[in-house]
Amino acid sequence: MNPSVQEKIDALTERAKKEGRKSKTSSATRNGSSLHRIIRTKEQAEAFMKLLKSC
Amino acid sequence: MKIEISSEPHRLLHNVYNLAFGPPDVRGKIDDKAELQHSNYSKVFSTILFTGLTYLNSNPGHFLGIDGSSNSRAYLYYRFLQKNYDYLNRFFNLFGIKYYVRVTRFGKTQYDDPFDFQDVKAIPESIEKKMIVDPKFMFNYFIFNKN
Repeated sequence: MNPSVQEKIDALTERAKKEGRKSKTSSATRNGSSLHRIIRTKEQAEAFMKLLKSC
Repeated sequence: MKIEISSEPHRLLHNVYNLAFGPPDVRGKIDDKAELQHSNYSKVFSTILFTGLTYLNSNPGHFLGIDGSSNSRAYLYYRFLQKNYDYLNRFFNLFGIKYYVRVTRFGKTQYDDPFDFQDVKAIPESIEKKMIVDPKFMFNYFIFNKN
């Protein structure tokens, strides 16, 4: 194996051991809902919240 | 069954959090399109909403949203809400949102339903008891907060 590649692997392995695996939030809960695809602008969001609170 | 409330709100709706549920796949990610057989669906859905209530008790200003990932599933949720309306209404304000999400359904189900050209805006609507909604134009998203 190319020594520079091996060095990178070692460095990444070392970092992973220290930092661990990053926790991932499911895309379904973070930004995968259909509401995220529909409300895309600040104006839409403001209008939406206004309507929601007036219901 | 895994129930997960997002740790981050909607990017623009700062107090709307998504509540997702379903069986976890091999990577632990919720599969909200899985078809499950439960002896008592109402009990399953009540458990999910109870989780939501516990969360809202700790976060009273928040709204929780449930995505009806397909028209049939959204209809199922709506039936649960109606069936248990009196009980749920004691704890929650319930809202439904219809929008032209059908165009965002890619793949096999994209053209399952006709487009509803009246639903071009995401307008939340309060869900009332015995409210009749045509199953073909069912709410796509449900939002609730604490009474």
